[in-house]
Amino acid sequence: MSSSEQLARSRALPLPLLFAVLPPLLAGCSINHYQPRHFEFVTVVKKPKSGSGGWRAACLHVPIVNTATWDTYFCKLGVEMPLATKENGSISTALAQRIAADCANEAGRVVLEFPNSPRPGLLCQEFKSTFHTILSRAVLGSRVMTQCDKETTPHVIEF
Amino acid sequence: MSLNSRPIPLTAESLVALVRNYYRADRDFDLRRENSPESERFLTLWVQERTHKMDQWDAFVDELQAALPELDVGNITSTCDASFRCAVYPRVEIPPETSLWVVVGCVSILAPVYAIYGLQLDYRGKKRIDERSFLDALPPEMQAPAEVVARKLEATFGLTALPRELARTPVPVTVEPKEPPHTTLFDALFISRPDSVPI
Repeated sequence: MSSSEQLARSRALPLPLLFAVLPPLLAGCSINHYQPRHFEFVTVVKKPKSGSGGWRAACLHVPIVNTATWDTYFCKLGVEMPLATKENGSISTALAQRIAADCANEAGRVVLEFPNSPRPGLLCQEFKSTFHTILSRAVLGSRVMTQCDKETTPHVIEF
Repeated sequence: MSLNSRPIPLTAESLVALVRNYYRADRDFDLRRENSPESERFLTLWVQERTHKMDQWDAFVDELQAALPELDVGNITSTCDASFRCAVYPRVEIPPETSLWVVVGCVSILAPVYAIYGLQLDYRGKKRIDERSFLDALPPEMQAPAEVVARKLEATFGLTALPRELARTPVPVTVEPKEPPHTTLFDALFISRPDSVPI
């Protein structure tokens, strides 16, 4: 199904069904619930002696509850960022955490404003993709994906 | 010195079979807390690779910098992708006013192959507004540095360039954000977002 078809279909769904699935994930995003401490970055590639480089990773598990069935799903987010770039200079862990949280909250706002699908899988994918777009503009080369680095500890978000 | 010790025939069949050990076609594990077996293999391999080989890669990047003193060279490895990466670009203030070219060298962690590609990054008012990747023929200004990177990868690690026609081979797996039928061996062996460069 194309994305425009998905959009058309989701818009045809009764509003109560949408909201049955959306609040646990999106209510948190819409009111700045992602906090810097949620992003427990670990260094997975150390920064070279000089210049830019290095890589850090964090892992979040965001629960999505379908309140119609009480099934709980987990939207896994692997969030990875450089330690230093020519453009940004050295990026401290605290700064990376603040940037990641701001971008996640912004992504939540965007997705809540125009939700394309009430299905948890598509909702999670839409959030990840929007988060990736915003984060990779904030710090070039940053990534948001499903897979979490082996050396990260998943942080389960509780809203 | 060898960066990859697992020789494999360079055929589409063997490479497609290889990457299917590390990626799935479906997204069945997306909403589960546990990883798929394929993902576990990929993530475990990366821990081994970076533990044992990142120093070699850093040393290679230093040697490349010495061989290209008029340019900037950096280790831009992002361990969510399947390759060690280095970037070569003009020594200018970043972000530049208008544009920047980047030659990227990648060494797969899954097979003893490398690839070189080019990027043209366009800026306006010091903000990046566009990226174009060149996975086949490179623009003239990128060709000489690309040649140096290729020769040095071959001489240092004994690697083989993945032929372009093999790199374009479709593979029935998902390598975020690419999904079948758009995923290629290039995506699975090196990187599915080639325009993502942390410089």
